[in-house]
Amino acid sequence: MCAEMAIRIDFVLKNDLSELDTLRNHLESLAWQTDITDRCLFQMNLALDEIFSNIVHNGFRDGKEHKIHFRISLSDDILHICIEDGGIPFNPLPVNCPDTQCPLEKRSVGGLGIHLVRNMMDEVDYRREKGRNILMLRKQVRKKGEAEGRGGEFRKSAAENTYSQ
Amino acid sequence: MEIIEEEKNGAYIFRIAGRLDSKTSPEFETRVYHAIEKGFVKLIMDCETLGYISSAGLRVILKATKDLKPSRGKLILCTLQEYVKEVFEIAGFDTIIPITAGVGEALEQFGTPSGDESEKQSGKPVPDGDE
Repeated sequence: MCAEMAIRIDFVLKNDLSELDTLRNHLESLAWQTDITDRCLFQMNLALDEIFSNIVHNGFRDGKEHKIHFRISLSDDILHICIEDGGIPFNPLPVNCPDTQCPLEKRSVGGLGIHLVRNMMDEVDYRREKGRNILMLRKQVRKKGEAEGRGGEFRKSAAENTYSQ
Repeated sequence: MEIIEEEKNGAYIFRIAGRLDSKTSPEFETRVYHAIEKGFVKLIMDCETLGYISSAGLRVILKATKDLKPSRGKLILCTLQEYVKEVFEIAGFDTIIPITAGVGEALEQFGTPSGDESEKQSGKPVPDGDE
């Protein structure tokens, strides 16, 4: 990885959904230190939540406590995230995206989590190494004060009908 | 997450505060299905104070929308915050689930006049955790 890292945080979560709050706290702290925008924080949180929740739900079948390792670094404006677990092999890359335009009757939630991850991040890579799942994410982030738009970050634009708050 | 429930003009409103993720969504699902079991088919989800949603929350919304269809019921989302709304759009939910700017518009879609915003008709908010 990059040598001149500006900020790096490492943390470990147990395979328990109560750790979602811990995840959020770590990310908020990172955002505070690095001044990344609220939108980037939301997107990073959502991507990591989806990955973590999937590991908790499907990664282990022995009922025991396991550790999931997170390494996050921000160098220049590029966020690198690595998530590592020793659970059941799972490569999310070949998972088909759900059809998000078909009628209600045909809609399925299967695959929606990874669909969100792909949309929140610029790159997603996976490898299985020494019995561990290693998922790597990359995202260009924006800092507060920089022009924040949705350009490039989202597939769809709906700025014309935004009515936030 | 906190949920305040209110019945108004035959519709059932959920005001959700906080985060709808894989930890909190089961509680939301339980509340929604309590209302459906009580016979309500006009559901409104007021998201004014919902700051976060993941696919676990989306799953509950999609499931309820599908389950309400045979009884000609509906779930309407309103007052979505910007980032939450973007998640709905990325998931393609904005094409299958009605989204309105406010609770009043949602009630109008159900054909039930909202009156004004004050709760003059029915249903005081039920506090969270009053199981």
